[in-house]
Amino acid sequence: MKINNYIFVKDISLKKNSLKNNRNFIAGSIIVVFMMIFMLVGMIASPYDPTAIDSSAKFQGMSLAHWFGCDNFGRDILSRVMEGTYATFKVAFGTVIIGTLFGIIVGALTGYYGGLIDEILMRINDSIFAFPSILLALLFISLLGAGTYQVTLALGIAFIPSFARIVRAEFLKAKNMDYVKVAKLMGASDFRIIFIHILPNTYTVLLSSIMIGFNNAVLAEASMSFLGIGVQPPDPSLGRMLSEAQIYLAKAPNYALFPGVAIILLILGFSLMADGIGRD
Amino acid sequence: MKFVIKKFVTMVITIIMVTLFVFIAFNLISGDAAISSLGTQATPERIESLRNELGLNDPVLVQYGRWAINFLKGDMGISYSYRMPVSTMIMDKVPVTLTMALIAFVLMLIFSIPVGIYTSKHEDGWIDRSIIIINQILMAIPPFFSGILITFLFGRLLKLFTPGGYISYDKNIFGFIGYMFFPALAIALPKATMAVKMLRSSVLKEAKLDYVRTAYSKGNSTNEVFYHHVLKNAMLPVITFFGMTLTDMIAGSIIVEQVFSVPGLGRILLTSISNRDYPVVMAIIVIISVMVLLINMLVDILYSVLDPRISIEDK
Repeated sequence: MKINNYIFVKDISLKKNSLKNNRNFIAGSIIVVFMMIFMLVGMIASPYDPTAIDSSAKFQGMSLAHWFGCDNFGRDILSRVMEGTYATFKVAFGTVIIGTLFGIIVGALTGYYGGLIDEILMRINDSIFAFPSILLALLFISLLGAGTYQVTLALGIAFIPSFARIVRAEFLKAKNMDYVKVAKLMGASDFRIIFIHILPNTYTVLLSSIMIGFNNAVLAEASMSFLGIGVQPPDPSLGRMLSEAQIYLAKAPNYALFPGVAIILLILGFSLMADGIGRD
Repeated sequence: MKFVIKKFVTMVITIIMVTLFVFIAFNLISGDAAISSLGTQATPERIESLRNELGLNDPVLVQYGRWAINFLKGDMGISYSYRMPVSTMIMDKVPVTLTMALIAFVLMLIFSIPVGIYTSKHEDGWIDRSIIIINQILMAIPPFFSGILITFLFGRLLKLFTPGGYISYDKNIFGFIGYMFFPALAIALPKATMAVKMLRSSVLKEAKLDYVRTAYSKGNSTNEVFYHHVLKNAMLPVITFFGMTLTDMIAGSIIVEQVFSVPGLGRILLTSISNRDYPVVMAIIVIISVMVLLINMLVDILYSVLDPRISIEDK
């Protein structure tokens, strides 16, 4: 019966839908803002030095002094999760910047001009796009070496094709619209049409793909540092903490729990925000 | 048929492009093989003669062709750090990774299709709402963390398997599959939740279209409309997604293998990356790439069989 209702009360169901999406967006923003504050507190007033080793506090459980407990070196887990969130965010931010910037340039030029270059670039793009980004990032890591900057660059490159694809589709659509034709008649340069006229009009699509980009970048960064090829020790990172915590799972489950929850909250926040923007 | 041939040709071209890129990239970073095997003290004449012998003076494309033919014959070079043929190192690892990805794929199908159908049929009921919230949270759990949770829950608390106690498939095939179930579950979970979400929104989108009203007005019951009309169309984008996840699962197994200490392709890839053992890294990347491209082609073909509009549009 539900499907039946759907047809005849189309308008009501649409309204209900957008309200629900806003709720997604609000929930997502709250989570992301919470994580930002958490991260900032860690930067300004971290309760302990995240790399300070205190052998007397090894595997201390959760207490008032150490809210999240201590790890195998007696380092404060709360401080490390804060610092690790910052590290994850830094890489995710860099990745999204590289991915969007080059994605916009490639997508805008190919979508706007079309022709042979478009054909060639899109063929290359499609074949890269077909690859799981983890594999692509691993390929670049094996060429560039491990480390924070290398991972940022590798993930950024791996993210370009998906952005380029989305931007290109938007430009293809916009290219034949009236406002673009008018702008052309008024003698606007191609550069102006691309960046001042068309680009701002793609913002909903861009914004939601940036959010999805953040979501994927956080996941990818955490995976990379989990594999030990991202942020290098002793600097804390959420993924690496998880891979270390895995050994002491029976002894100190809290060691694995908190970095894991931090990753989940980051991903959940960004994906909810993307949902909210995307389906307006 | 024309469509299939076209897809096949595109795939072969893509494989050549990708492997050529990988070949050139690895040749650039791994340096001169003649110098590295003779040492920097060797006389220029000796290096030159070895370069000739190894064919390093030939044009890149000739070298690539030689490498590709050898690769197809099963000669993938010699590992730097283990001094043994790469093919013997990795060939018995391929089935391990593939089995894991396949079990994960089946688990995803078993979970996502019924749940997706249920939630979309009972849209906005309280069960649907709670499933969606749980779904959204499960989607945000990265496979390596769900792997850790699964190890803790099923391994340590319920003692359904021994964490780290991998059983090889040539020793005990059932033990192997039983052990692989858990890493596969970790890989399947986020993908299955995504599929539920996609299937649900796809069904709801289809249900708004005009043909659904027509089907109703012809006197079909809700179930008839749902299973004969709506679901068939709604499954199309989901099938594309399934195809993409299979390739993602093969790549995702690289990470989950670490959690469950499964000696598959991923493990050996990571140790080889940190050892800078380029022949091994290159071989594994090429093998996984070819698998990915092959799966993509099969999905495209399957898709055109299910939705004939695709192959007509493509012509």
